[in-house]
Amino acid sequence: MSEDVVFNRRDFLKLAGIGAAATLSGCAQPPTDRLIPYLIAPDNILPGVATWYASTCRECPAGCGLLVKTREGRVIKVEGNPAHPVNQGALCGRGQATLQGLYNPDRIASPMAREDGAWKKITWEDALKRAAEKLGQAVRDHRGVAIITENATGSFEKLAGEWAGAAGGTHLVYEPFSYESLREANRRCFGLSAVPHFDFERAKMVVSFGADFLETFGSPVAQARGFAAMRARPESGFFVAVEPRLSLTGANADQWVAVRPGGEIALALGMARVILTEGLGAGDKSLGEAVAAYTPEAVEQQSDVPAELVQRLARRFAASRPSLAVAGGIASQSEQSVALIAAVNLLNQVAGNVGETVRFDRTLNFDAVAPFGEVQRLIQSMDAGQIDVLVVHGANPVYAAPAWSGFAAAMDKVQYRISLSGMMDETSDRCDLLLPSLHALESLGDAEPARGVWSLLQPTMKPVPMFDAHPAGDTLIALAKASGFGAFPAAWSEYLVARWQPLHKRFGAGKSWGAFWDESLARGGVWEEPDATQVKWSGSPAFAAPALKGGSGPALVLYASPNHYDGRGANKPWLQELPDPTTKAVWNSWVEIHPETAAGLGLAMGDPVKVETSAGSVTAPAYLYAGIRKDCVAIPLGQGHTAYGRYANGRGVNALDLLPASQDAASGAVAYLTARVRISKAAGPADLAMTQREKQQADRQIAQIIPVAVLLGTAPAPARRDTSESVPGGPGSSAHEVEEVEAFNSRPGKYTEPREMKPGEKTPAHAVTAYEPIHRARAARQIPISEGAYKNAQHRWAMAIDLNSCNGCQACVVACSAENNVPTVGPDLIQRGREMMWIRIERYEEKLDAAASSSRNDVRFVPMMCQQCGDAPCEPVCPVYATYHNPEGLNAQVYNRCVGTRYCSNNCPYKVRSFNFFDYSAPEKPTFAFPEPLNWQLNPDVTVRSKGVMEKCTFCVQRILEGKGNARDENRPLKDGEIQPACAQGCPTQAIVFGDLMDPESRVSKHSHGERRYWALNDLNTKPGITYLKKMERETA
Amino acid sequence: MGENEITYEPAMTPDDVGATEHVPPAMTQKSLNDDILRMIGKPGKVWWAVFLLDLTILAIGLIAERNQIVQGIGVAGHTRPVMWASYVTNFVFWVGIAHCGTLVSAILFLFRSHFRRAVYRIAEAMTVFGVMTAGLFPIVHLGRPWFPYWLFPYPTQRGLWPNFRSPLEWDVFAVTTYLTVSSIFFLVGIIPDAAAARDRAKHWFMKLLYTGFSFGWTGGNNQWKHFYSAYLYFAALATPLVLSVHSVVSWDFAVAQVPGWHSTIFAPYFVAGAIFSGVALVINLLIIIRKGFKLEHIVTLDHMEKLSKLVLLTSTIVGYSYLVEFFSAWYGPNAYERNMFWWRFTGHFWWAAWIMFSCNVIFPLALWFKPVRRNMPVLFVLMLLVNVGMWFERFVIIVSSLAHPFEPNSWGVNYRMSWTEAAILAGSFAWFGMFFLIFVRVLPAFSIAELKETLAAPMRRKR
Amino acid sequence: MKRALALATVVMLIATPAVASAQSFWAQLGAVKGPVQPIKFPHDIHAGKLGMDCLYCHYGAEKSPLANIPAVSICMGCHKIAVADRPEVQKLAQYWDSGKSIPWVPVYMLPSHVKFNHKRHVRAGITCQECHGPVEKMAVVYQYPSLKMGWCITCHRERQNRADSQNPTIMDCLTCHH
Repeated sequence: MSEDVVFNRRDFLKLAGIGAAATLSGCAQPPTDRLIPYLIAPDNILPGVATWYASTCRECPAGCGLLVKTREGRVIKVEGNPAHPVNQGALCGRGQATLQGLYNPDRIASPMAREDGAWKKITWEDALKRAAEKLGQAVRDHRGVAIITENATGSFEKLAGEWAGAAGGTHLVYEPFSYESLREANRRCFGLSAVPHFDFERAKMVVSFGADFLETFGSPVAQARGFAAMRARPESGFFVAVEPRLSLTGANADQWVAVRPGGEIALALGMARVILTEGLGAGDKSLGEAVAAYTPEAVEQQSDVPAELVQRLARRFAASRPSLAVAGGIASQSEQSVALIAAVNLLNQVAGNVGETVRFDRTLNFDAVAPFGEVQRLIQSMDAGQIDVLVVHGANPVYAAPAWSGFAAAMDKVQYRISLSGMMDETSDRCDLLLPSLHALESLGDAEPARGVWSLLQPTMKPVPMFDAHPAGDTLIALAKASGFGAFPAAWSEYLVARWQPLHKRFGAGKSWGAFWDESLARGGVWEEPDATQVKWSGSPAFAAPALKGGSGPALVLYASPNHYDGRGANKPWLQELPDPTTKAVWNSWVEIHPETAAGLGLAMGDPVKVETSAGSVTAPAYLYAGIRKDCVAIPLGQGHTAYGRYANGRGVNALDLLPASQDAASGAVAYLTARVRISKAAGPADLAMTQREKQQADRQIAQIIPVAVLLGTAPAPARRDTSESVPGGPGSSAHEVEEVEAFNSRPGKYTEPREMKPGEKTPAHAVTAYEPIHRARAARQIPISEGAYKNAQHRWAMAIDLNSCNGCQACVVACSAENNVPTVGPDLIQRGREMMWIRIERYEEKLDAAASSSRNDVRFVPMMCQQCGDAPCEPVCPVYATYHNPEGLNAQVYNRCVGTRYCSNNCPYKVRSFNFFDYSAPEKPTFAFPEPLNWQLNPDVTVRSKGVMEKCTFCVQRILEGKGNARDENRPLKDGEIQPACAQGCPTQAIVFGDLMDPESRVSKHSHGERRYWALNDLNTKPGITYLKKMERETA
Repeated sequence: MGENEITYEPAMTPDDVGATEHVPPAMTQKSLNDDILRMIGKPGKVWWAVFLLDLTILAIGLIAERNQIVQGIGVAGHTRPVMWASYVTNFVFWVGIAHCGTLVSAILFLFRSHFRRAVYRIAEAMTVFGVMTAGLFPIVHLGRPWFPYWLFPYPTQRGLWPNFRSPLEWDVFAVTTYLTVSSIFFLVGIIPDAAAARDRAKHWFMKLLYTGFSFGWTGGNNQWKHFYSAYLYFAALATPLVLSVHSVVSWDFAVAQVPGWHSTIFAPYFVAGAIFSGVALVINLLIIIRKGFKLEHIVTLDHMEKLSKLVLLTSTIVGYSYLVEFFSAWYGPNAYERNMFWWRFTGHFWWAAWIMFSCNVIFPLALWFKPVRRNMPVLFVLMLLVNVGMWFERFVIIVSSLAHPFEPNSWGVNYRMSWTEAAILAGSFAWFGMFFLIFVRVLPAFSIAELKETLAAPMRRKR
Repeated sequence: MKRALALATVVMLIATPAVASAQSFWAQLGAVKGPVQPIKFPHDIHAGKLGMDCLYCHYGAEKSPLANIPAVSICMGCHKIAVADRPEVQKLAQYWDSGKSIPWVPVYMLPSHVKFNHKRHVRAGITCQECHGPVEKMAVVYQYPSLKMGWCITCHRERQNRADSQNPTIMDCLTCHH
């Protein structure tokens, strides 16, 4: 990178948000600002052209590969690395939001020391001196020194370990979601303590015992991709969710078994028993006696799952081989979590899935993560005053460890506490000294997220100048040197290089070190296909249902927030404003209660409700959710921060405060599913900001499904129009009516008289819609300007969205906000319907019934953005042509022409246009959405919109222009899939396909004319450019 | 020269003057002049009090508007999907108010219904000021109110033109045309009376003013001839506007495909509603003026009764339109429409719908009874209710239709009127009131010339 | 009194437009001169007398949407030796030695809602002079065109029907405004 990275003025303008001012005045600013060129022309940076670097995501331990887009030396977007084995090009919302960790205005600006209560800025020299004093003292006196890190894996973990060793102290790798019961169970069942690789793609049927594998469990992006592949097969791909509270993952299930909390064990074993007794399984029969007690009747009695359903599930599970049962999430966090996972292992074993879909080849790397027992030991010794110096990096135990563990109090007993975290958090806030570390995107490093994957991090930009931070590795080495212990190389980079020598020998055979290193950096790391460790069944622990503490109230279900993970996402406005996929609520915590339970307490949606346990109580708005058992309440984790920056502090509650002291019997892991609670209506007004309040689609047919039988040709297709009696032609209407509708729909010249083309007549590209077959197009007179480029139009951009693949994860939403400079507006404005997101995932709960667990579960997700209609209702009503039809079929929005009549939004049937009610781009305004340096992330290719203008999705037109430009430069036609809007690029399941309808071979053309196609609000004849593919509806067990 | 020597061809013979029961006894050319020109001149305490109050409210409105321009339109209660609300409601409301003037002055003139003579000046003034008020709101409601001129077709270096397909663009022409024609009509009608005022004015400025308004009127035969023909032509010219303007306004909604807007009945329905509300406001104003200036003998109960009959008629038309809308929603195949109209009366804005229905259809039924029509206090209250109802009619059409769009996803985001909007609404009434208050004090609020026609024409006395 | 009023009105009516036009006229004059740069860089010598290719310094223009302002290192490439004794060149050297970039005053300014793409125009064979004027004759570079939208559109209208399928002349708002 160059020595002196500065921006040319136009980008600088946008950074400062003055760009908006220019838009506002509508004319060029007087040339007052200076234009600062580079001092030395950098060879890898050309102003105006993006440079890409490969790196690794550190937002969760999954360690997805990144491609980082930089402009003029600034990171402006992160995307998945297609070459990377973990995520293969996709990236979840949390990963996309890593940018806002990098540019977070609340990052620690410089080393700081706590002096009589207050933080005081100090220099690095001073800071290191102070630290070395205490540290040296402690080491010399052989007093306790401890270092706590997150699950960084790779070289840093090693360094931390050696560092602790040299200091004669302990190194603790702390992760709230440590999978220790999973590892423990696997150790007992298979003699191998590891987090296995679940192969969803190969499975023909999946039963999830509470595992939220599309949200936080394991490696979500990879699992989502595999899951989608499995669901794409109409003949198989049956998915049953066994959980008391329907998670996002569960919402994708064909069948929801609303099991009694803790009843999962019985169900798993009951299924195993059926398979064994009926001799269905491929696995060994020797396990009979372990499950003998679990007759279907016993199971029903223990888990509320009807006996015959247990049998049906078991038979189908055994029949569809290989199948897959996964235990995780809330279910695997009880006092019997090891028992549950062992039970599920047993089920997999008897069904012959172990080694097939449950493999120990690319196991996730949680090997170094400390069991909670070790954490407790550290807490004890801190409490006993045996620890003089505590060093923390990344981990935030003060927030994430349950209150009963007493970590915070014990930490206060430590003499001197040093934080290496880059971001202020609850743990750092309790320290005496802050030595801020660089953000992952600024630093060099590596990670081993899974077996056979050595992933690299590289500095993708010069450290953000506002923040005077150092690489964590260098800081550790400096500390060691200054306080005189251990023998470390001069710099972290040397240490890293040294550790990579063996890999060079293994992967870089015949290449010079330099060549190998550069290649690896460019690729994002090195990887291989690890061979699977063969395991055999080695007995199971005693099975018992977990007991829930505290009275007879509803069971407390705590779940990891899909947006904030264990809470580390809460300081990023994108993730705070990203609606929760289940409740669509933002910027808050809530208590999910079944409507009937709520009615009993006189609770309405959003009313504050008090939840009490013996350990404590929290008060949060109620969310009435039919997807939870009547005898449960659920609260998401991850909110309720007290010292995690302006975006996180005071948002919602930290539900961990409710946990009574309770651990897993076998592994000692923290038990989250352990308490019963008292709930009562609290005083105060209803206050829960949601982006979608109505979750029934009232016959609007926005989200449609199609029975697999139809796809497999074993059943006749339903009536074309739709399936609601409120619309004539649907079932329930007379045959005559149906005929009428069919005739009306097929009549040429319906609505806007599309005319038959004369032979040889070329269809104007813009007139081709996903709605109309290509041979019928609108008359030319309907084109706003029938001249110029309209004659040369070569493309009709369109999209196909497969609702069968979309699982509602909302990665696309964050990707879109990042690409298009979409501001975040906060809960108050969202409450008033002023959200700005250009794309949203609509959630429609067609059928959600905790009682009828044997019936179909039908929750549908629809990504809804501008449909780029062929006959767009918004276009004719704009009095100033701010929105108009582009030759290539785009529904254009010219921000600087818009005067803000908002007529277009009124007339848009899809309500996908967002309006700048306030000035989100002017620094002087209270509504400014990009406080320095968040504005560094703004995409220079997209205008920052000003107050009073309408904005919307344009299929990332800046990318379309860039793609077409590149093709022209190389004098070649565009390749299909070469241009990808942010949403399509980021989608973990490839549910969104973008392309050119004029090219009959393009994927989008094929999708748009496939059997499952339909168009949202079809009967308005807007001729959308977006074709939806119906979700598959499977037979339930 | 003495009054008894005045001689002119009466514009009409006593026969076509016909209905002379409007002419109170003992009213002479002179007394008429006195009575009406009495209103002009030094205003009293009451007037000043009202005027100051009015200006205060206007000031508050202006402050609110300034704040809205600085902060952004977000200070108003709009949401997605309710992107239009009180401002557009006010626009339609005031355009509606503006209708009755042209109706009374032009159409009734062509129909020779002579009771208009006593009331049309007030009605015309109301029209002009009404349009001037309505014209503010398209600008007030813009997200970027500093660019309203982009809506006008003018040649620019950018080579851009407005979109003539947009109903909002049609509004620009409809409203400007209406303002032009109605103010010309107003000014023409006022010429002879302005002359009369000029002849009495003392202060040089007032003289200058009236000289301007009276265009050098001397009352010569020739002038009268031209005056009447000109007036006739303008009447003919203005008449179609009564129908066209509000039809165009109604297309703002009818052309869009929003359920509850997308309806062919809107044009006639809006025109009827406009006249309905307009006449109601005229009645209110007249009741105040005839009492305040003791003109009961000029604006008689008969006049008021005839006007209230007009209200009754239009009320039934409006009521009929409501019923037809609901019927076709129920009878037609459009599920969205059906759902919409059901929601309109039972959903979140049910109260607004019921205010609309009762004030516009139910209460006016009282006008079937003569005692009610001739009882000023009752009539006053009734007409106030009518205008409340008509404001809510537009509110219901605009807000409740938008609040329940095709996409269930955006249901339940409910519009709440903000203080800014309330202040600006009040301000608009103050703005209208300001002009009207000045008008009654500065210009003859009743047509002396036409009223004189109802007097027996003075004949040359034999010596 | 009346006369005074009338007079005032007349004065108003005449004065306002007069002042306005005069202002814009002076503004024009100012623009024509061009801003004072920290170093008096003579384009007429480099591009004119020496006939250097514009793209030698502004190499971004054919590779990128933005035509780059040359880095100081590019200048020093020649001026380490070439006419190193000239006062202006010494100024340059000072910047170089002190490791500071040169704070040039921008001449061509577009509002941020306009996305102009140099690469496309250069590759379509538009010469620099067509937009930037006879830079090779300018001792001090000034803003040659009005840079108003009308100016862009005029040119695009004229060339609209060129037979160049590879570089068609786009008449689509979205191309520059997105």
